Parts: sequence; C-alpha cells; structure tokens
Amino acid sequence: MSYMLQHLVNGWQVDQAILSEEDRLVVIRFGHDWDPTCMKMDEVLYQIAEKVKNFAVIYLVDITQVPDFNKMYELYDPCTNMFFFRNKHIMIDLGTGNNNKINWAIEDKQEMIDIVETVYRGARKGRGLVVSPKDYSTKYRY
Amino acid sequence: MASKLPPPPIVNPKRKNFLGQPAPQGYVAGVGRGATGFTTRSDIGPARDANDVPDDRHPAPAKRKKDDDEDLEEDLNDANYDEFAGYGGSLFNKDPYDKDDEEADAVYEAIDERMDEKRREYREKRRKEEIEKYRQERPKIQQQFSDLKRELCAVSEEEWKNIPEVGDARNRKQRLHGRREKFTPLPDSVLTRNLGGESSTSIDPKSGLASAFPGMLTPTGDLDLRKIGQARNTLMDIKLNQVSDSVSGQTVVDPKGYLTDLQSMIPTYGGDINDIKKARLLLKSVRETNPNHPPAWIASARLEEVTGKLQAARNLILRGCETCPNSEDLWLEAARLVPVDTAKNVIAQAVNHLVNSVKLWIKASELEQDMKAKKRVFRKALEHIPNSVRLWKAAVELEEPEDAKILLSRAVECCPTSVELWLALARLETYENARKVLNKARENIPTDRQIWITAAKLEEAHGNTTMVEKIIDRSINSLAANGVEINREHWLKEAVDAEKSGAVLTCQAIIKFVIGHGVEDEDRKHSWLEDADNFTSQGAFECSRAVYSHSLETFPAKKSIWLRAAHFERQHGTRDSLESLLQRAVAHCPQAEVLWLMGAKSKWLAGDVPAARSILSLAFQANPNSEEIWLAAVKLESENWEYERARKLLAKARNSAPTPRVLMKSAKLEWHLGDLAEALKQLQTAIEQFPDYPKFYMMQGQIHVLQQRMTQARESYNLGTRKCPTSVPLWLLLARLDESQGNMTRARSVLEKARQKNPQNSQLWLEAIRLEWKTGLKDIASAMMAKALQDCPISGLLWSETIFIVDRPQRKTKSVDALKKCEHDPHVLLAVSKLFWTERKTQKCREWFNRAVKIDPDFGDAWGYFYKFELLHGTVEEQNDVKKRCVQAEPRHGEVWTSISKGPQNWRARTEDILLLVAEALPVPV
Repeated sequence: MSYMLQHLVNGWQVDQAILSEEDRLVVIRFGHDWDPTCMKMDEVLYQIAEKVKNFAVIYLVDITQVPDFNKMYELYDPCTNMFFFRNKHIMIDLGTGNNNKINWAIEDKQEMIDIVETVYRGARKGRGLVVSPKDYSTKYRY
Repeated sequence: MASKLPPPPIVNPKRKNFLGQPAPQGYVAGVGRGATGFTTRSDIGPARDANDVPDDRHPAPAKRKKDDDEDLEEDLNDANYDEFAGYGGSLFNKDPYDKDDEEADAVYEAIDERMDEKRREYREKRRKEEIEKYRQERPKIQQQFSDLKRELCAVSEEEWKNIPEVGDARNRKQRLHGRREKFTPLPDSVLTRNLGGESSTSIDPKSGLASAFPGMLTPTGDLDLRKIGQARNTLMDIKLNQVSDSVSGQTVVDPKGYLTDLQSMIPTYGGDINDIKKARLLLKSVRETNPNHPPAWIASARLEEVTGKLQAARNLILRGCETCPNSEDLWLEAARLVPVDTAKNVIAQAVNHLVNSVKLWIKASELEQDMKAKKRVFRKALEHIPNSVRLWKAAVELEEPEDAKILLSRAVECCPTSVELWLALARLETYENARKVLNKARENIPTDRQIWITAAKLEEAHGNTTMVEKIIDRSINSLAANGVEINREHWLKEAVDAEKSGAVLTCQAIIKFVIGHGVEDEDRKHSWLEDADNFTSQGAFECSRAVYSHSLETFPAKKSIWLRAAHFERQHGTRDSLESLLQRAVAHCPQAEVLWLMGAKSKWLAGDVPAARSILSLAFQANPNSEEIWLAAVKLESENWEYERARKLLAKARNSAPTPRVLMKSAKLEWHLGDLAEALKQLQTAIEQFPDYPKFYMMQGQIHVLQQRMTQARESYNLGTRKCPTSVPLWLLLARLDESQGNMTRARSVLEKARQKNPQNSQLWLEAIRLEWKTGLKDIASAMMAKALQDCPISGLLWSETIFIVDRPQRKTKSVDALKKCEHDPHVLLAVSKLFWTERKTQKCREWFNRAVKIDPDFGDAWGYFYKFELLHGTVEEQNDVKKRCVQAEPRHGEVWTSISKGPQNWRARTEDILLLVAEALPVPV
C-alpha cells in the first residue's frame, strides 16, 4: 500500500516535512517499498493514516534513494519508524532496548494507533521520551 | 541564483509545498534543521558522519586554552618545520639586535619604499575612481539628503522650534528603566550592626519628663517594644499628673478613674470602622427623610450602642421619642437604653402618650423595685386597660391569695372569656364557691373543655364520685351542642394529665366517653389496643387500664384483648387485679386455656396451691381433655412434691388424652423419680403408639446410657434415626455416644449420614468440627469449617465457632466477617463479647453482652456468660442486675443452658439456680 502514502524523495523534503508540522506528529517510515517487512508496515500505516490524520502525518522514505540519514539515524534495518514533533526526535521506550525507533513492522492497526497517540500526547507535554503502551521486549530481534 | 518559489497548491490545499521539489544545491540533509543523530549500533555500521552536527546535548568538555607561557615556547610541530629555516618563525629572533641588523633593515625598507613609489600615482587614482563609482551606486545617507538639507536654510526659527519631538518608541518600562529610584527598607540587622556597642537610650520610667524620649529619631538600640510601651505609659502618667495638679489646685481629672475609664472604653465592636461610618450615614439620611419612622431611630440608637457610644445612643432615642411619641417600640427601647432612674421618667412619659399599651405598663412595673409600687402600677394600668388578660395575670401573681381572689373575681368580670382566669379563681375558692364559679365560667365560655374537666376533678376531689361521669358525659354533649369538635387526642391527653394529677376517676370517665369517639366500628379494637399501648409507654397505667376495661366491656368475648389486658396487669398491676381480671376473663372465654393457666400460675406463684388446683379443675370442666391443662396440673403437683397425685393425673391423662407429650411427660416423671424401669416400660409402649416421635428414642437412649447399657442405647438411637431421620438432636446423641466410646470413625460416619439426611444444618456441622477439634486434627477442623460455612453461610452458630477456631491474630477480622454476615445473631454477638473478654476490654465486653441478651433474651448461654463475666469483673450490683434481668427473661435455649436445665437432677430448678449452675459450668474464654 506504499503507493497510497506520501513519499519523500530527497533529504531536503525530509527536513521540510519535519519542520513544516506545527501541531502534528511526523511519522516517517525509512525502508524500501519492495521490502516484505515494509510492505506489512505500510499496509498498517495506510489503514491508520486517515484515522490519525488529526494529530499525525505519515511519510515514507526510501533509504536507498535518500541515504542522507542512514548514518545519522543508523538506518540499517529493513523497516524503521521514527517520530518527530516540532523538529524534535521523540524517543519511545518500547522495552526493546532501542528507544530511538520502531525497527520492525507492527502488524496490528490498533497497536500502531495507540503508539502514535501515546507519542503525540507525550510530545505535546514536552516529553522527549514516552513509554509505549505495550512492552515489545519479547519481540526483541535483530 | 534566485530560488524558485514552489507553485501554489492547486489540487490539494493541504498539500505541502515542498513535495516534489528538488533539494537546493549542496544541501546537507539534517544540518539545516539542526538534527542530531545517535550512536547505538556502531557494531553493525558506521556511527556518525564526520560532517554531522555534533550533538550538543552531550558536549565534550571544552578544551583548556593554552596560556601565554606555552606560546612563548617553540612550536615543535612537524607542520611547522622548514628544511631551510628549521622550526617556524624567524631563525634569529632570539639573537641580539645590533648595528648591522639596523642597517639591513633600513636597506630593506628603502627598497620597499622605492618599489611602492613606482606606480603609486596610478594606483591611487584608480582607487579614487573605484570609490566614486561605488558611492554613485550606493550613496551615503548624508549625500542622499544633501539637497533637502540645503533647503533648511529657508526654515524660520519659529518653524524650527515647532518641529514636533520625535516620540520615544520604547514602552514605559524600558524608558523608565534605571531612572526610577527604588527604596529598600534597611534591615534591622544592619542598623544594629552600625550602632555598635552603643548603649540604648531608652527612657527611665522614673525620670519624670521623658527627656530622652526618642521622638522622631530612628528607634535606637534593639527596638524594644516593651520599652516603647513603658515610655508611652510614662508620658501618659506625666500628662495626667499635670492635669490633676493644675495650678488652681483643683483636681480636674481623677487619674486613676480616668485610666480605668479608658480600659472600659476599649471598643467592643470587631467590625470595620468604615462599615459603621457608612451605616451611620445611611441611618442619618433615613432619619432625616422620614423622621416619623420609629425603626430608623431604633436602629440608629442600637448602632451607637454597639459601637460603645451609649450617650449618643440615648440622645438619639430620646429625640426619636420626641418626634414620634406614639411608637411603643421606641419608648421601650428608650427605657432600655437610659439609666434606671431616668427610665422611670421615660416610661411615665410614654404611658402618658400611650395609655393603652400593655407592654409599656408591664415595663413600668418591671422598673419598680418596690412590691407596693409595682402593685400600684398594675392597679393604674388596669384602670386604663381593664380587659387585658396579661395585665390581670401579672397583677394577680403579685397578690396574696385573699387579695388575689378579689382581684380575680373582678378580672373574670372584665375578661369573661379567659379560661385561665376562671380556673385560677376556681382553684382559689372553696368547694361550694368553686362550683358556682365554674358554672358561671361555663356559661361564659361554653366551648372550653378545660372548665368541664376541672369541674370533674373538683367533684372527684370532694368525693362526689357519681358526679364525675355525669359531668364528663354532659361536657361532651354540651360541647358538641356548641359546635366544638371533639378532638380525641386532646381529650386523651387530658386524661393522662388527670391521672398525673391524681384524678383517676376523671381520667377513667374521660376515656370511657371519648375512647369510642371518632373511631370507625371496625377499627375500634385495633385503635383501642394501640391507645392502651401508648398509655402504657407514657406510664399512664390507669388510663390504659381504663382503656382495657372499656374495650373488654365492648368486646367481652375477644380472647386477644383479655390476653393483652392480662399481660398488662401482670406487668404493671397488682396480683389481685390480675387475678380478678383473669377470673372475669375465664368467665367470658372459658375456652382460652392460656387464661386459665395464667390464673393458675398466678395463684401458684402466690403460694396458694389449693386455689391453683381448683382453678385447674374448673379449667378441666371447661376444656376437657386439654393436653395443656393436663400437663399444667401435673407440673403443679410435681412441683409441689405431690408425686402420687401427679402420677395419678398422668395415668388419667394417658387414658383420656394419649398425646405424645403426655406420654413423654409421664415417662419423664418416672425417670426423675428414679424409677427407670417404669420409665423404660412406658417409653416402650409410647414408641409402639407413636413411632415417629423422636423424643421417646432420645429418652430411651439416655436412660440406657445412664444404666451403662451402651448397645441398647445405640440400638434405640439407631431405631430413632431410622424412624425420624430429620431429628437432629437424635443424630447428635448417637454421634456423641459413639464418640464417648472412643469410636471416632463411627461418630464421623454418623455425622456424615446425618448431614446427608439434613443438608444445611449448622448444628451437625458444628458437631463434626468439634469432633475433629477434640481429636486434635485442627487442620481438618478448619477445612471442615470452611466447607460448613459454604453450606450454611449465614449460620451464627458456625461463625461464632470460627472466631475461636482461628489463630488469635485473625480473630478480630473473623469477628468482623461474622458480624457482616449475621449482624443480628445472638451467637455471634456472644462470641464477639467473649472476644473482648479475652482482650480484657471489660467495658466493651459488657456493652456487647448487653446487646446479645437484648437481641435474644431467650438465649441462656449469653446470660450464663454475662453472669460469669460480672462475677469475675463486675460489682455486686451489676451481678444482681444481670441475675434479675435473667430471671425476668426466663431463658430456655442455648447449648449449655439446656444441657443443665434439662439435666434430671435440675428438673425442678428455678431460672436463678440454673443461671448459677450455667455460669459455673461455662469456661472463661481464652
């Protein structure tokens, strides 16, 4: 479903996307549209995009096309989701040990909505780190 | 390069304008927005780019700056190395600067100068041109306005002066910043420090005029408020002294009195002074706009009074009295405010203005101290207002009885409608005159019941009993004729009052005539009985007796009323009244066995056995073959040691009315008299006749056990359980028999079987639990208790046992649970009180015992424990009190109680004896 979501095709667009949102969370999925993990993630993202549109906007970034952030954000996984709010990278404690991002595909819509909402609420209160509603430590994988 | 603006969004206004745009040339992603990365996984990829913005969230400590000393040292870095010159800088800058060096420098300088001179002209010209060109392109501001500036010469001086000032764009805060002075109070600590060790110059209170008074100086020394206060006092003292010792030698002010006066003048009003001012102003305006409005004057005076200005208040109120002399309230207020001696004058003025004011006259009499003067005031008042009941009453109260009589006779003439006056007069008169007075009163006030009732009481007090009823009867008729509604409740209240004042006949008469009034025929019995109960609870026993007698006259055949009346007499009447009542009762309801039995019991309790016997024989005639009466007769005989007669009676009873109870009683009698063989024989025949009556089996078994014939006993119990499987006591006896024989397993199985036949029976569970407990299997016992509580969750018996089965620390919580489950169960209440007993909380324990015996006075164990408790911890009065209450309650139930009261050796014991035995048998709870 990646073709239904907005792609960002260069580093400038990514930066602008992050800078342009004043009141919404920016969710960026880094990966490849052809990647099976990303496909699952994109499916979920596409389905929730309309539901969360009041407080979050979702973009997709191809990490081969836009390699600018690969080192900065350590984008070595097939699929990585990151959250930004008012040009601030919001960390989320998922119980996996990596609080910077979600680096697997979340296949449940409600779970994803919950995470996005939690991040949004935390970010609105000025938190830099929020705690995920669900602990994903059992899904810990590299 | 001019940046291209992104096209305005056409399709979707929400579409971001950066979408689809190429990145600017040389754009470094992330840097533009100051993004910082992170390093968590340097194991699988390069951590961060060198050109990344450093994460300033965790900056490395800043490098120390090199200081000058290091600078002087040689920089021995490789990069500074030159093959020819060695390490950087001049090779010779450490050597001394001599003449040759100076010359060389001069030569070099000359060469430089020569070289510079070569194209200087050209160079400078070109530079000038460049500047000019530059200026043309970007002229100086000064040059831009030069043409305008030239015109300034045409501006006149006036115009110049009228040029408006350029406003200050800064806001006030910015403008005034730094200009405004700030004053900060100097702290006391600084002051004291600066004073150094200087001695403080406080006033010596004895030094007369305060020469050292600090005046406007800053407080010196350590700001001693106490000393300041002292100083002020001294000053005051001095001033007072001056005033008191004035030149003329005449003392104007009494200094001591002045000071105390001041003390008393401390304003008592706690409110805001401004409020008072405002109120004063408002009231003033009210007074002025409407001077004839008395409340305004009163309010103003009160305000002044509250603020402590009594004189002002008096002045105001007197002025008010002048302006509106017709206001009673104003005069009263004035009399209150002015001092007593002037108050009399004020009141005198007042009555001059308002002759007909009762209040003023009464106030006037209050102001008089002398009795005579008071009387005189009233006389005068009555001359003016002869029809004021209040005045008459007040006047009469002051008089001696004789004068009062005269006064009252005049009063009733003046106020013929005042019942109170009439009654007061009647009370004072002799019998004959009182009758006349009352008759007259009746003529004057035909609608008042009080007069009639007083008349009735009067007649009764003088022994004219026949008249009482007549008067009451007539009163009701005449009142009804005069259109007065007969209010039953008021009349009944009168009856109670009459009884309280000792006029029993009047009370009876009232009840006789009024009780039936206003009650529907079908409600009569019900409401009468209710009235009787009400009277009893009010303590008006004569009234309720009258109600009962009246209702018995109306319903002579109603057994329930007779019973109620008999109960009433037993509780509140004498024995004679009870017996006479019962005699009448049995005459009217001969079929009511209870009444007969009550009569017999009353006789027997009085020790009149033959009379009791004759009553019972009469009862036999009335109710032949009544089991109750048979048994009562037997009991009477056996209690009075007439066993032969009892036996004969029972034999007769067996023949004529062979009911199970009769059979049982006769067997029991034999047993108690020690004739076990006869008892067994009778039981055998009884069982043949009534095989379903469990008590026979029980007795049979118990007799066998007494004779040590266990097998037979078991047989009879077994037979009994087969015939009557629902008889719990039988099962219990069987189990106990087995247990006493040491057959625990059998006892267990018996109880199991019993529980199967009688599910949800707490007694059986309890027996099983106790069995386990006795055998020492405490775990099983508590497990069984849990099961039992599941089976019977609201059994107080089980809960009370639980409390003592669990460990000591848990008892409290268990007791709370128990109370929650069965709040009104005497067993639980008893267990709780036992719990308090173990904790030595005597007061609480007593409270709970009282609660337990109150909730179920029939529960003997509670009484037993209570008595034992009082024996150990209470006073003699408390012990006797418990004993008395127990005897009154006549308890018959309770595990320990029945085991003792039913014991063959105690078969004739009274409640009191049983209570002692039970208290002895009961263990002290631990």
